[in-house]
Amino acid sequence: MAAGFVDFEITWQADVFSGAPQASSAAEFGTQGINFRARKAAHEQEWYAARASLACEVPIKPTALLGADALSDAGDKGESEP
Amino acid sequence: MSDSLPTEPSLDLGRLRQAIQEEYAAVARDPGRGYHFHTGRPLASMLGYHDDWLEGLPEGSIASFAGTGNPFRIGQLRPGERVVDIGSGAGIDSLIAAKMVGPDGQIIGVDMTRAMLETARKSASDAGAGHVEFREGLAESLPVPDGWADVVISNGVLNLLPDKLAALQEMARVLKPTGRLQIGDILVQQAVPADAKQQIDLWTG
Repeated sequence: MAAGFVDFEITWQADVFSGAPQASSAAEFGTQGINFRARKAAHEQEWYAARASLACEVPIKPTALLGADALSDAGDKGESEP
Repeated sequence: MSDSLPTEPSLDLGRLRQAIQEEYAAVARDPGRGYHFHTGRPLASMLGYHDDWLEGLPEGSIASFAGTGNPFRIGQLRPGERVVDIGSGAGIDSLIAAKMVGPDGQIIGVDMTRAMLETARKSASDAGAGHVEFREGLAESLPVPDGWADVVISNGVLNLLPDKLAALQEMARVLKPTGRLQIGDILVQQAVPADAKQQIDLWTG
C-alpha cells in the first residue's frame, strides 16, 4: 500500500451558506464550511504508525461567521505551515 | 480497519457530473445571478481572503469564485513550490497560488467544467501568469504525474465527489512524500439519509 495522509486537522469551520441569495438545503444538515490540512507521510513506516494510533477528534467549536476577523479566532493556525 | 470510505454506488455518476457542470457553468457565465451559495468578492472577504492576494487578479475569476473555505489560511505557499488545484473553477485560487510561489513555481489547475476552464485560462493570460496551466480532468483521475506536487489545494470540491476515496488516493499519488494537503470544503453535522444522497439536486444545492 502506498503511504497515505498523516497530521490531519480541521483548522476552521463556520456557517458559510446562510444569507445566500437562494435557499439552500445546507442548514437542514448543519452544513459548515471548513478548512483542513494533512500531510503525505514521508514513508510507509510513518503511515503505518499513524494508522495504528488513529483517533478521530474535531477539537474546535463551530463559530458564527461574522466577517474575516472572526475567522482568526476559530482555530485557524495562521499563515505558516511547519 | 477498513481502507474504504462510504460511496454512493447507486448514484448516477453521469447525471451528477452533468448537473454539477451545468451549475458551475452558470456561475462562470453569470456569476451575479444569485445562487444557493455566496459568490465573488463578498464571499472571498467572508472567507478571509486578504485584499493583497486578490490585487491584480482579473475580475472574471474573482466574480465566479464559489469556494467554501480558504486553503491559504492554513498556510501560505512557498516560492518555487509546485501546486495542484483540484476543481480550480474560474481560477482564483490557482492565480493566488501563482503569486505566492512566484515565477519559479508551477501551478496545475484541474477542472471538468469547460466554461470554468475558459474563464480560468483567460484570467491566467490576462494576469500574465505563464506558470499556471489549466487542464480538463476529474479529481478521481488527475492529469498530473506521480509525485509532482509539493501542495494540493482544493476549495468546495471534495463534497461534490461520490467517490471521495478515489479522489484522496489521487491527491496522495500526485504529492511528493511530506507534501501538504490544504483544503477548503464542507462538513455536515447531521447524518444525511440514504435516500437524500440519491437526490442530485441536494448534491448541487
